[in-house]
Amino acid sequence: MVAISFKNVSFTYDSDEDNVVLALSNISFDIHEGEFVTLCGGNGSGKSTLSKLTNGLLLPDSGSVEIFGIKTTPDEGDKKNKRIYDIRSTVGLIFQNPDNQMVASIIEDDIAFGPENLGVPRDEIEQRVTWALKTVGMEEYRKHTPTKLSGGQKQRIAIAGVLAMKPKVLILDESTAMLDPEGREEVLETVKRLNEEEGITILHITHNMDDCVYGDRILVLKQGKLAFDGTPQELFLNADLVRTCDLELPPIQNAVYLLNQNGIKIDDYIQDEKELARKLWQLKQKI
Amino acid sequence: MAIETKNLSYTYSVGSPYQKTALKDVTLHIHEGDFCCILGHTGSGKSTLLQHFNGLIKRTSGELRVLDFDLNRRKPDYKSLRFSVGMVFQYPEYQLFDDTVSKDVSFGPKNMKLDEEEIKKRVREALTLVGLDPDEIGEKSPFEISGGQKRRAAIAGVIAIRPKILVLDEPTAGLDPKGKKEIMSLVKSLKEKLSPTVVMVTHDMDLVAEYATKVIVLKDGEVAFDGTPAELFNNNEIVNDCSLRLPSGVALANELREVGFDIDHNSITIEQVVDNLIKEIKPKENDNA
Repeated sequence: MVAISFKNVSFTYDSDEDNVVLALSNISFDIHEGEFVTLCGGNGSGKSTLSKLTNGLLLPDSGSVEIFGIKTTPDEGDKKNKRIYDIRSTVGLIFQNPDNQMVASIIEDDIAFGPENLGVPRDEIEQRVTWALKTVGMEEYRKHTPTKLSGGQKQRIAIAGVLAMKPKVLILDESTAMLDPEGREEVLETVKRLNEEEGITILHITHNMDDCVYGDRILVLKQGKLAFDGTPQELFLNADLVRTCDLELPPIQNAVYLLNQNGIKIDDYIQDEKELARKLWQLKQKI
Repeated sequence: MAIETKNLSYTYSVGSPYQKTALKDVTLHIHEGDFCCILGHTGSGKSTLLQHFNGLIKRTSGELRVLDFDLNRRKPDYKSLRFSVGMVFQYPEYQLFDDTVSKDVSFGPKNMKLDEEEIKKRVREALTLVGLDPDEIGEKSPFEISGGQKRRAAIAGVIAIRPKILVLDEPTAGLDPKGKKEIMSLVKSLKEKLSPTVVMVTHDMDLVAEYATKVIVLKDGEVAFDGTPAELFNNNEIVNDCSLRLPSGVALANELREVGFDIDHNSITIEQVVDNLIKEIKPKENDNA
């Protein structure tokens, strides 16, 4: 089943007339249920605009966005989209700064906030809070206050808060950008588990290329246009494209690129340092 | 000597239930011309230490000297100190407040009570140094410029006081790879042209490997390591003990040594390791040719 479908989507922020910025131009792609997709691009490439279009916070100027077959735009003749809340409860959004998403002073209240607003019965809220905290590995903090947690822990609480609404799609909008490397790993491992065990579709927006290894497909935006749609392996073999999109190769791929530039040819995709070291040693023996 | 501490300690909320020792007997020397990176996990005391350097936190225990300022005296001249040590906080663009970029940048020089001509000169100088056109960008509102430009404008506001020491807390946080490169080459050029001593907090070990001449690692408020990046990253005991990550160059060099390559321990960036490899693999190839 197609979870997120963009068809010829364009979007413009027209704050004043002389200064029309085309944020997205003619974007089309399908993301299927259960996929883990990474969306990359430099600052200002349109990544956040795309995430806001996905849960109807923004509506496309032209083209259409569908979430499990439901359009984000109102039906013809209607002023408002009657099914916008179906979309919002299907697509959970996690932002960059977890502090901006905390609403309560005790963690279990914070997690309960979402389902309370959806009118979920009390017993079930209780169950969902327990499940959500367990899923992100934070059950022991249930009665704590969020203020004393690390960045990674806060972000996991923010994820639990969204999980409690039982979304089918989770969008992380640069949710790892403010975290240190440990926090980033913590959050991404949690998300990966949600994808594998709960079957939640993931759209992870980032400009950190190290994060891309968690997903199985990458979309790259460049100045509002879709510049690439494929696997991380394919992308990393195309160093020039990566550079023109204001991104950079992960360090190992960069080493391979530099070696190739200097006449030491390595044609295959290299996963990690170990593999590169082995390959190079074989090469040295042959010479 | 740019910064010198001896047994510097600091405790928050003394006598309350929230009492917490943030720095314990910190002794360190940062020389003029150093590019010093300060590493350590959340809560290791990095920010507390940084805030001592320009007197945002006043020394309470131990000794502290910054440039010519003896902060052990009874009434140190904090005001002049703050005009000599420029502080760039995390996400400095959130601190832009005035209605034009130029006015914002002039805030520091104005507080130094400089005359109008000098203030104008400093604003132009600072904006030019960070790569923003004073005539074009200077007249804009900070809200009209891009994220990368905002961060540059905020840094211009700090360097307009012409600090001798530039202190930066994670200057590349939240930037894309291109923006990161731009800010780091800006810091490097500011070090050459304006502020000979740079102190930088970062979590990015690749930046440490590329830029630092000296590294200080804090752990639970104490100095766990003080030396060069190459010394640090080749010292497995310290690296494990402080659970530091390795720069990607060092991680690669370690694997290469494991399989039998002879890689110089001073090669700590990917570029340096690749240069090493080329020497190891290539000469024979040339002989054959």
